Amino acid sequence: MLSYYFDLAIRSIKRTPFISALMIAALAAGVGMTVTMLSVYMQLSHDPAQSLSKQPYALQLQSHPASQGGSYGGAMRQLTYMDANAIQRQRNDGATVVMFKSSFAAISPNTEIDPQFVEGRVTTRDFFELFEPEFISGNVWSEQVDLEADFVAVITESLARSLYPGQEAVGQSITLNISEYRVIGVIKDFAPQPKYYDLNNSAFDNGESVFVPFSLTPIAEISNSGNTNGWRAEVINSYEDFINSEYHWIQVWKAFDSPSQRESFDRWMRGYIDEQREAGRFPNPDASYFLRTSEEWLEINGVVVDESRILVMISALFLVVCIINTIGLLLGKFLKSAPAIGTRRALGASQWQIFLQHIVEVSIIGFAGGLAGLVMASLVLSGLDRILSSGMGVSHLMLTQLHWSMWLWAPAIAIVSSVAAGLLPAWRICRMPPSLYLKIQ
Amino acid sequence: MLKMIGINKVYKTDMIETHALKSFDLTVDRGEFVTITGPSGSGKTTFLNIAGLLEPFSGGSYYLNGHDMAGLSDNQLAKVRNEQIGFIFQGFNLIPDLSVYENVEVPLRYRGFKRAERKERIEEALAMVGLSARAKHLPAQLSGGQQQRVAIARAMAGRPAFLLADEPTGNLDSVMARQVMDMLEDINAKGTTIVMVTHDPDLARRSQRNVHIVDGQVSDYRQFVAGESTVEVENA
Amino acid sequence: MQIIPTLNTLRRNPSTTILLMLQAILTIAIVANLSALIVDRINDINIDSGINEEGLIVLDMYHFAEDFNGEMTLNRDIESLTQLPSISHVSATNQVPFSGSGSSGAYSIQPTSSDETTYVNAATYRADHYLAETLGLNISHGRSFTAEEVMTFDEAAEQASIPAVISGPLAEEAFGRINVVGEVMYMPETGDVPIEIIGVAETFMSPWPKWRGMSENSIWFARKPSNSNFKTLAIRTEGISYAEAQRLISETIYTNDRSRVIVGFENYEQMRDRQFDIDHALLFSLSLIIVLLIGVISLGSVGMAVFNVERRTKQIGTRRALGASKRSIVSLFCLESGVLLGVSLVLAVPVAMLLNVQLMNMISIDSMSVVYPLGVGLALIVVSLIGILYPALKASLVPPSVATRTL
Ligand SMILES: Nc1ncnc2c1ncn2[C@@H]1O[C@H](COP(=O)(O)OP(=O)(O)OP(=O)(O)O)[C@@H](O)[C@H]1O
Ligand SMILES: [Mg+2]
Repeated sequence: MLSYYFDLAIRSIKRTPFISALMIAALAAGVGMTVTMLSVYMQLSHDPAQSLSKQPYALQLQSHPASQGGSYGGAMRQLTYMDANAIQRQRNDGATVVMFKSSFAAISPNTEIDPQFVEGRVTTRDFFELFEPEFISGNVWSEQVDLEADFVAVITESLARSLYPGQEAVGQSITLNISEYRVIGVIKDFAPQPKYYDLNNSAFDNGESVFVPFSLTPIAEISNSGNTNGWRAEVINSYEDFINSEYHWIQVWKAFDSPSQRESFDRWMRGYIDEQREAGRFPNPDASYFLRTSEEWLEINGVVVDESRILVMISALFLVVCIINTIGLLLGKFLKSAPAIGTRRALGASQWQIFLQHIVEVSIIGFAGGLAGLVMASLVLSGLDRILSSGMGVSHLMLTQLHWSMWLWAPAIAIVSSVAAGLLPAWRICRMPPSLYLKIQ
Repeated sequence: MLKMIGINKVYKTDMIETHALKSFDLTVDRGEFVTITGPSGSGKTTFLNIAGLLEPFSGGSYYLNGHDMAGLSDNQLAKVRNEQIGFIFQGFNLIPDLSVYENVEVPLRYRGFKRAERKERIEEALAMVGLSARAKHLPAQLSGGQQQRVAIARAMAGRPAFLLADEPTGNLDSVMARQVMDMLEDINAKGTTIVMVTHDPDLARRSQRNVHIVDGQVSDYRQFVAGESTVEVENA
Repeated sequence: MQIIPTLNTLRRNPSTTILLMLQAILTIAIVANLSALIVDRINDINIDSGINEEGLIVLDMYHFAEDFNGEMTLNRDIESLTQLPSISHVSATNQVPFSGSGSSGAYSIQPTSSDETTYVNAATYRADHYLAETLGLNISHGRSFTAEEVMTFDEAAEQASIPAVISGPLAEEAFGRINVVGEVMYMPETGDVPIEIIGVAETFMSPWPKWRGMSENSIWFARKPSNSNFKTLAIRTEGISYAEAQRLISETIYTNDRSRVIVGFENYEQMRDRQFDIDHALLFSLSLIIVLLIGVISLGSVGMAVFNVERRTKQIGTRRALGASKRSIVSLFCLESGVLLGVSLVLAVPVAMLLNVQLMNMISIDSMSVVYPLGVGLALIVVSLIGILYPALKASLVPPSVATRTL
């Protein structure tokens, strides 16, 4: 029977090519825009940390006066060097990532290769354990290096390729600005989107290509190229002044192996806060700290821009209008065929059979609309990509690729919309008293 | 075969209620050829629609083949229509997008017959109305008389026990009308019960029995015997 | 005259009528809100930076030499660049309007040692005395800096007062008026040392066009280049292509000093556009939705009208047979959709305003003027009436004989 309905539906669609194309186009437009905007939204709200083996927590310390800043869930986004360093030195309780972004001129020992500007990350060994970039060769520095600095670096595959073309990078020397480092590891290019581990400058960028030990900070006087925030004016005359200031510029992440580890860390943290407050460093009497899951962290940092939410809402409304439009067209079309349906009813078709016949027709239109919608979505996304990637300085944004879940969402949206569009007309036509349309009009 | 007792049918519109049938009684026996006549608006079509289960009725009872038709579900009604009743309309009511073959196929499709069985029945039905050569034509490519013959083939393809026709010759010239009438008589002779509404007294006279409806009620029956003039049997 | 039969037709096809009205109401509400949003964003994108953007190039460099001397290197750069015939002015600065990153600080009109001091936030420009000429900044009150006034931070802190040029909106926010030449301000970094305002630029935007309370506030101190690795030059070119400028300038820069990398070389327009990428993406998306919506609605309405006419062909034929003129048939259809759209427009205005309230909860926009739904609604009525003309004219061509022929 279904094949019969299918056959009838195809005939019916062919009989009114213009109207059928119009309905397919309307559904495609509605579904396409909704899928596009939903996809962008999904990419923005994507949490790359979900796939990590350990749940990382962003650490915030609320130490400054409550009245001064703290618009990120009640605290600043970053910590002072002093506090971060203290947390990093207390290393018993789980993994500790302490880091900031820096920029370097990377110079190859091969003098024929021009110095190149690279983004770098000054961090601890646990960065690699927690955020899981993939090593191609070599390894991360030892725990010892996090305590006693050494000039070693982990670099990405692309940087390795451009600094040491055709050569093994591990063991080579790399000059970052004026200091010489030894390459001890090469990782695959690492740029999670959004860059949840440091959302300061842009949630979407190409990531960093060189990683050096945080313990080098005071020794190599590595400057911060991320954000520096302060809540009071300070006179800074030297690098030492800077790292001893109350400026906030270090990101700290924690991960625990067990609840007891977390409890132990909590005890230590509270002790530290009390100690600092008593020493008069923390002016806030309610000084406290927060551990944020990556999901909370993305939320607090407003990674999903308001524009994206708006576009999801507006495109859904647009889809509703497209559906209403399609309902109107289907109703007109179905009602026009009422006499033929009356005849079918007289010849023994039940209401249900008539209903099914029309639902099959509507589903075919919906399916075509959904497919066309997906094609349209990828076109619109590439348009958005062109606009956004130039702005964010990224060659290709993950953001503007069709989110994988759309392959499920898009057909679902298309089918639900077309059935929603077809339900009323199909119901109306099957409920029509057949005798009314058998008469000679 | 068909038995209606005290059937009422009321149409309600915005302003007025129309009593199309008023405690309508009628019995049609197996194998009979009954014509229905009556002035316009008297309720002939209404009767046929109810007899054909296309419309619900508001009072009384209706037995078809001894089964009570009241309270059947839409599905059951569709099944009865499909298997036991054939319809012929004044406007032919062929489905314009379907070829002759496919039009005849419609009731068989709903009956769930396999392709081979459908083919056999369709070919038989078309042969009966003499249109085998036209199977691939669209209704628009046929004359009015031919269209009505396709409609008859369609009605008969399911081999119903019961054929309902509403002015089947109303849109045809007299030659065509006679052809169609001959065909119906043939069908009746092979055992199908026929109830036909007509305005044509000549055609009415060719049937075995004529029921005259006035104002939604049977006003009189006439029995016709071949070759003889009208015999009044009963006054309602 | 035909209003009663019109209303009856609409009443007799309630589902079609309701659908058409719903469609019109939603369309008006959506298009009105999107138009308001688009106008709002276009205004944002076109905001005046206060400078002459044409021919301005922004160059970012990263120095990595150990013995790097910012002041010396940049002075040499400026000297050699300005000697090029196609370059008129060059200025070493920490940032330019709409550069997207830079420094800011808190400023006050009271000495900052007091606890009750209230602050105004402003972008802090630290640049040489060429900045105004290079950017084409219009100092509307007072004057720009002289070469002698360009100092290091430490030198400045030892002066009796620190000269500064500020933007009009900062003056307005701090003092309540624009012409504040001769007034003084303070900043926490220098405590009680007064900042003497020597000039006001009516418009002088910060690097952050979207930072509420900060976007228009700027203060400019005449400072020598520091030794920070990052350096920015604003370069005014004339009559030279971008590619040519890039070649000439990088050549000069690298000839002067090879121990640096050019990190950014951009036309000002390019850099400026970057600050509005999300707005551009939003505009693109919204315009696309509007275009698609209008396309779907207008084609859809024509389609529905065609059905409507076809369904009523016989009725129209009968009317014609009974003596209705072609014109009255056309006006019958126009009146029908006119009434429908008119009612929809009345209902659409509150719906549009409701949607606007919803949008205002989600994004920072001003409330929409009622002109938008009204304007969009009227436009929709005009367009729809034109759209209905085709099927209506087709209907009027139905020959009266249809009444007697059609089955
Ligand atoms: N759907 C309906 N709604 C309202 N009234 C109806 C409806 N169908 C029929 N009627 C009314 O019921 C009465 C009987 O109509 P019916 O169609 O049965 O007449 P008829 O005998 O077939 O007439 P004709 O010979 O003209 O075909 C008429 O008065 C008619 O107006
Ligand atoms: Mg009748």
